[in-house]
Amino acid sequence: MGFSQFLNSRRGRAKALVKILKEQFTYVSILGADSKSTAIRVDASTSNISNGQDTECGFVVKLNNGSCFFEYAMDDIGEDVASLAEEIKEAFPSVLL
Amino acid sequence: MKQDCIECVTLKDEPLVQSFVRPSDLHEHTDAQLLDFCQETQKALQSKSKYILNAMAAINTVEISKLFISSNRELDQNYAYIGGMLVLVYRENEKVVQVFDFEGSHNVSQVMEKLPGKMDSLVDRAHHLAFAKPIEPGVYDVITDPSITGLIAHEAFGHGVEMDQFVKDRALAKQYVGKYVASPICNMRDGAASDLNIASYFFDDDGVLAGDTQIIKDGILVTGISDLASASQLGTPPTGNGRRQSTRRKAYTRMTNTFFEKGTDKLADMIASIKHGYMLFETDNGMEDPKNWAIQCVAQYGIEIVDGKLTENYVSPVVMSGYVPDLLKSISMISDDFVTCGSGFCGKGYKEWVRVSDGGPALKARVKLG
Repeated sequence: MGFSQFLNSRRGRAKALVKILKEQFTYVSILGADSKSTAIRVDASTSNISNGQDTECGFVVKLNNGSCFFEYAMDDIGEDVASLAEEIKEAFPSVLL
Repeated sequence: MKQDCIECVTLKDEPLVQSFVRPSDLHEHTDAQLLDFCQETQKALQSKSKYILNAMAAINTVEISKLFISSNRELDQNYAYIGGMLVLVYRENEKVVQVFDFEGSHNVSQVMEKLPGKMDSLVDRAHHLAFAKPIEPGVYDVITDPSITGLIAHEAFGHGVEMDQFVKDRALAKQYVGKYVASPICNMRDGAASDLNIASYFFDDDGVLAGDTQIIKDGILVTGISDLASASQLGTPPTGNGRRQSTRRKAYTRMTNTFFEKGTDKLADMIASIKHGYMLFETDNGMEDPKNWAIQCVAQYGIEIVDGKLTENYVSPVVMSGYVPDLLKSISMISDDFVTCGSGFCGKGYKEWVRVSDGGPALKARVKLG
């Protein structure tokens, strides 16, 4: 047991992304999840081990502009955090800004 | 032009940097060891009766790591949960029935220790259900086992007090805050920090620390549960109930561990107090209508009580339905024991599945059965 090395490796980038997005939004948060699940089933005729349905890995950014919430999900936070921040801003419906 | 939006109060982002870990023995057991355990358990269960068509033993493990970063917060958590399940498909008396039992823990060793001990009672239950008869519809005095108590808590009030429904005026409970909605001996809670079970985490998917929310106190509806968005829209503190199926799905207000608190009555006295009624066991499924406060709870089976004693007369399935306050106000006795179970998933509508637990003590109530 131990906290996800993958999430730990993205901690700095997540902080940088929050800092950039905070320049435009009143509230910014990032949730990263790395869950490993295993399902083992044995019945009279079969034995099976597979990934459980709780398995997931990814990030979601939550933004608020003072009146509305907006969420943006992604698999990873790449090295180019500034470009990612631009992508997220562009995805935020302009009608809400 | 700016689109119409629901007004939000200023979001609090109080400073906090913390790491949370719940120790588990998960990594002390290999997949091969867990498979061996399931194979041995399945073999033992299959051999219990010639009427067993198929026996299944299963273990599901999950290790969760979550990182939450905001301007002022840096939180991470790591914990595990292990669920073991036995399922029987059984044919006797020209009838096929399916029954299951569950053992959950944050430690594999506990599941491996306790699951095999449930085999005999499972086969016995299957045998009785094969001979169970339909119930005569009517209004009865009933006693609910902790599984059915939990189902009532979950369906009757859990969904009804999800405060994202308050925002949309889709929950009748909004009008009843501060009013009697249940018998004065009823107390109900929800929270990831209320109990150690499958829905116990340290912070929710909004970065709000796990809560322990008193929903009903002495029969009065105190408050609902909320995620960050609904709390900010309603101007109330978030209760740590913001959960999402995955990072690909939106966070909603969701239940965690939902239960009635234990009372002071002995189960034997509760049974003895009933002239004619039923004790209801094992959740099958449930449904709620928060807008009109109606519920339907299906128990796998009931055992008839006659002159204060449990009989050998099983009925199955048993559907309990009615108006939530009528049901909760009819509760007249609450047992002094307490069990919660985390074998199920909860959906929001028909989707957005998250794992939840529910339970509590045994309740005596007067309800409509069919």
